[in-house]
Amino acid sequence: MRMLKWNHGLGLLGAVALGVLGLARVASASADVTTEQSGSILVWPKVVWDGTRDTIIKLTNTGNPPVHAHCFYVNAAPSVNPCAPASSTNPPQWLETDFDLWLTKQQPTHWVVSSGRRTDISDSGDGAGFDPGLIPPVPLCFQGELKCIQTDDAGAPTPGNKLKGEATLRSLNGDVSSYNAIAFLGNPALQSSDIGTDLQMTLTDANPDGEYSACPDRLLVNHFAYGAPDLAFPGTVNTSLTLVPCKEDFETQTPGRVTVQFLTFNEFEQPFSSSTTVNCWLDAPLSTLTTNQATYNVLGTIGAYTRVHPNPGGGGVIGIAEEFHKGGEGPGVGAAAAFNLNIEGNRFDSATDDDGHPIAGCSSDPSTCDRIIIPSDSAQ
Amino acid sequence: MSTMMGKTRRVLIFAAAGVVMAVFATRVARADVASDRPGAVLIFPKIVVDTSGLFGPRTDTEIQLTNTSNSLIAVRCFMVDATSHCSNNSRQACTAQNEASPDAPACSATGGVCLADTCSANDFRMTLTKRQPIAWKASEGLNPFPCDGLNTFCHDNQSNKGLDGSLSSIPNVQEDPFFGELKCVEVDPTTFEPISGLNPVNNFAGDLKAEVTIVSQGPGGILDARKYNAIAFESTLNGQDADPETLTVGGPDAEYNGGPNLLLVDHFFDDAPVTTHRGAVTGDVTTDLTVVPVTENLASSDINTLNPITLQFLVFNEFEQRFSTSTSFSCWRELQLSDLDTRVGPFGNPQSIFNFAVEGTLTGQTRIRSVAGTDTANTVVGLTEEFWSAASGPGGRFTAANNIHFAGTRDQADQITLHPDAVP
Repeated sequence: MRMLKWNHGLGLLGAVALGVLGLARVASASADVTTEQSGSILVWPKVVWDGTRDTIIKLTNTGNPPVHAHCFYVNAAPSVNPCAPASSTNPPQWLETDFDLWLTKQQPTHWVVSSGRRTDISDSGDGAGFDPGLIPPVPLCFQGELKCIQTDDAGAPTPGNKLKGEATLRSLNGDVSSYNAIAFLGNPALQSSDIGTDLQMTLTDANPDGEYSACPDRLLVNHFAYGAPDLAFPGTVNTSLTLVPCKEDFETQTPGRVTVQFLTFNEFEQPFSSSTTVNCWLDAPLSTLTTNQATYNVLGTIGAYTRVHPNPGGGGVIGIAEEFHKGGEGPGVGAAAAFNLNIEGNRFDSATDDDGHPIAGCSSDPSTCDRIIIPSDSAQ
Repeated sequence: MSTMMGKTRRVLIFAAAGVVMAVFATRVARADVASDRPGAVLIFPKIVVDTSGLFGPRTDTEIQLTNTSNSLIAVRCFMVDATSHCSNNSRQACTAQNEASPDAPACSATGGVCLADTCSANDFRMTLTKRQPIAWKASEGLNPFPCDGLNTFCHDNQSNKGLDGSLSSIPNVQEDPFFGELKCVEVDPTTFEPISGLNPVNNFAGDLKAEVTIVSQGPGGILDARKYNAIAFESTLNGQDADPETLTVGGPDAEYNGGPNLLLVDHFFDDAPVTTHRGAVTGDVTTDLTVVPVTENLASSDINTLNPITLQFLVFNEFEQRFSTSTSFSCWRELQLSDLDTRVGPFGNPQSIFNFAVEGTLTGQTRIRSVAGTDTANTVVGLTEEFWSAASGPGGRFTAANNIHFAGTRDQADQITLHPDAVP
């Protein structure tokens, strides 16, 4: 009898192993940060309401169970006069406003940041639908990011990977520009664990025990040289880049600060380098960011390719780019077209790049890895 | 006793085999395509050229392609012409939308109908030096290349001349107006046969990244632009098989990661009135969906003869109310959402399940599933474009494009059959 039970157990082990094999053939998805899969932390790097441009946020629960989310607006507008450019006498602030959302199964929702969204079961038109929660409007001249973290019904972060989002930036003249929110995948194996309020970005294909996707090691940007003639029709093209640090501490109100290196190649494969510092949030023309290295006058070709690499040990960045195609003699910056950036590698794993140089990840000292720390009373 | 020992031995072997196979299962295809990572196969679902403005504002497509690696690579590309033509005049391009609501001469005016007829591919090849970006517009192509290897050279005397001596060249699209897609494959710079990527940082997944900008011009030279990332299929750790002209995408012997099981689209419902700027700006929006199949026989003179793919749509509004519909296509399809379940054109749109008039909320989520074939996964990829009414925009609108989200993969494979490589 004991032998029969033993054989049965071994047979079951084999069957389970083969079952795992069957699942593994379709379940081995990448743990990388993504712009086209649902995740547990969403970041919209560029959110603007300045009287000329407004932003429409779309957010969806892609799963069947209801989901909760805790969201943070981060206002990086200057502190003295938010509607004026940042300067030494008008330094940028880092002001957080957070709110909670709740979405039923497969529910999409949206709001316009300048207006927010009220909870009103009787509204129609723009407000029709299950209101996901009270969403505050942002103040005029808001510029910054939006972050949403999937939580359980008690408000504790949970790696459910059921959130996807987009942003549409709309100008006063009706021009529109759209990008996908950047998603950090959560480790589904930790769904019944208490992740706490210190969300560590340590999940990689090589480190399947991590919590959330590690920040990318490099951002890869195809762009037109700044000020280059438009290929299609008479006009010029300018590109701006928006970057936010991966590491943020909302508990102590400590923004991330990352120095990044730019390596730009023109169509003759000639390299040009520069650097800048991302202090909480950065949105600037490529000409400014690269001290004119990425301009048409310097590069000499229309096409260009820039590799954005944060300095080792200083945390990673994510972001988007936006092109402005200006034709004719009219005013304004031109027609906008936003796009998501490509990524390469991650900040956790150590690796060797294709120049043969070692890339030190934070895995040797996980306390230095990127993390988002949310206020402890968020998860009560 | 011996029978019991034999049984035990068999069970032990079975269990051990299962464990070993589960461990090595990590070498099969990863379950994702990407538009945010370089890959070894790129799909550009929508290329459009209409330089005379026959079907709307004058439009052209700008394509940017980069070798992200630190090595010389080559690329074989296939521009698929999916432009429809009148049944009674094969030289007259047409669109179903124009037939329903003519801005340009319609086929029906001369007794014809608009046919989605022959879908065929033109191929071309190029060599890219390390980290080299190139850019061209679809109506003109690119010739010569920046480092043509005859008069100009890149760093270290490298050039865009193939190691087999062939010159790189990109032709203009086959006709104008043109509607279609582009597929590009990373290949060896000597043999021009498909290879895996060369960058160890991304596990040799592929070295190509690309973006597409569709630009329109209106009166006074005002421009409108929308941009999307090419969709990348990463090469797997399986490497290349013995057949260089057939690419296995997904499945148990995958050379490249498989296509998506589901496409997830967040969108505004058609004719949704969207108000922003605290009431100062109001306008409505419509959305077009463009889909292309992953499986494609690029060697065929008529790709349309392949079996059509059926798409199932599941639509949720902000009340979580659910609707469904389906459609089918082969080769290439672009449709306004409201035309998926009604007649193409404005007639019937207010009764569509994709229309604000029916759904009652501004936004929806649509889950798109392609029905698998008996032998192929039949996955599709695509993009969405939003058209926002605006008096100052070219053709009375401004536009935006979005890459589509996806979920899951399939056990079966797709196959891309390449046109035999002809040395130019």
